[in-house]
Amino acid sequence: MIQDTINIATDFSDVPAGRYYTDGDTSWQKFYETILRDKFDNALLGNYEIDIILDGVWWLPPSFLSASFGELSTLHGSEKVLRHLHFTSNDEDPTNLEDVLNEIRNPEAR
Amino acid sequence: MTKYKRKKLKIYHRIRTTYEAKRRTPAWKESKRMNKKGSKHKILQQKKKFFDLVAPQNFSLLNNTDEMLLYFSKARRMLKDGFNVNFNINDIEELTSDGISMLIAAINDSHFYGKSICSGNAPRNPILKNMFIKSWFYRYVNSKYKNESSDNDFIYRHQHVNWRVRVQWESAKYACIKWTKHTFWHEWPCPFLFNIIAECMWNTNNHANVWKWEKCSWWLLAHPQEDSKNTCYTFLDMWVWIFDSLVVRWFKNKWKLLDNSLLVWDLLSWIIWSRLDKDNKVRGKWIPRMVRYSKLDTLNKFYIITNNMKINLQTGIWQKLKSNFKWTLLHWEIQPKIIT
Repeated sequence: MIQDTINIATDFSDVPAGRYYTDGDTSWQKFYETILRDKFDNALLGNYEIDIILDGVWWLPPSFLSASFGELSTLHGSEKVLRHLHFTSNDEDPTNLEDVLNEIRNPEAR
Repeated sequence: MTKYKRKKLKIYHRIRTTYEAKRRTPAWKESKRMNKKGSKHKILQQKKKFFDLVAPQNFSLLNNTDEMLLYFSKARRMLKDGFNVNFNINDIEELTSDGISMLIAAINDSHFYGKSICSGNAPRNPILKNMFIKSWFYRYVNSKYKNESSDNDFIYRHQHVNWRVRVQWESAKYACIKWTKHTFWHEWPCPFLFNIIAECMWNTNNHANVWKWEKCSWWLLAHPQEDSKNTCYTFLDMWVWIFDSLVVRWFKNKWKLLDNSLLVWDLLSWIIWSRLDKDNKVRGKWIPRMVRYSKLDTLNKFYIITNNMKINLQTGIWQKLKSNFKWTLLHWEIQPKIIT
């Protein structure tokens, strides 16, 4: 059951990029530490789902994905992450959604 | 003298004193001396004869790579030797956007022309001339057509930025949206296209290099083809030599590899890992990502030309070039979706 929502474009940035704080104001480190980690921990405790809205996001670079959702997947396992995170994308091009799901399923794949 | 006038006079004298003090500094004197020397050199250089270099008939880096590279390396050598060069493209029969981007990038690069001077002309063929004028080429050179550049044909974005401005978001958004109407009949922020453009900007050598932050220089060019609904994009990165980058050089030395072609497959599937130790396992996914995008049915072609290799990302087929290309060129073409 969805009880929480993260809209990346409005809550964080429509062009998230970079790995560390030093890479800019919209880095994964900021997203992961200020938004995603706490909300995910709460979802685990409360056993509910978070709806992550990808609409309005221009670019989800591999560095951002691997170090936010990929990091979560490495820590908790892809099954657990996919059980608690629900992704919404109404874009006719599924590129961004596919990239996120690929990253969670294979966080260290090459 | 009124109080107001006295105050004004005081400000005037303060400004004059500061300015005069500045003019007495050694740095100021040195800069003046250098300016004088530079302008003298320029006048002398202008008096030298221009060497006429006739361009290949097919002025396309993608379709006529070897001849084009030979042409530019010859020009580079002559400019380095102190000759002035006239890029004569009067008689060309074919012209593509990647050819224009190569020309504009070369003549605007101080490493290319050194202390010499470049000049040039436009194609004689009226269609090609029209294409040439409509492009934003003349915005970056001194010409009578400077202000006649059309807003409807090409995009150039030339960057000299510091490392903090990694991706020019506005340019990338503009380049992405502007031509989607031409190809897809409506404007939309096409995600895969934006991803490719942003990845190109993000992964230029100096951006990817975390040890030394330098200025970087690249050109992005978009050209909607008039005879079809396709739009060509060219990204010319003027620093990266993929096969000569530190990590690839290390890889080549370790395995005693002399031929770049042996590394193509490894590079595309990113068996060659990132040079950075930190988070090494999750780094370096952008090239495989580009390969994945290149297989979308909305992409007609996707090529990388770097060093002595020309690689078709869609098929993985490579071609060995006769001369070395010192920059990296990425060229892709979007086409309308094929409805089956």
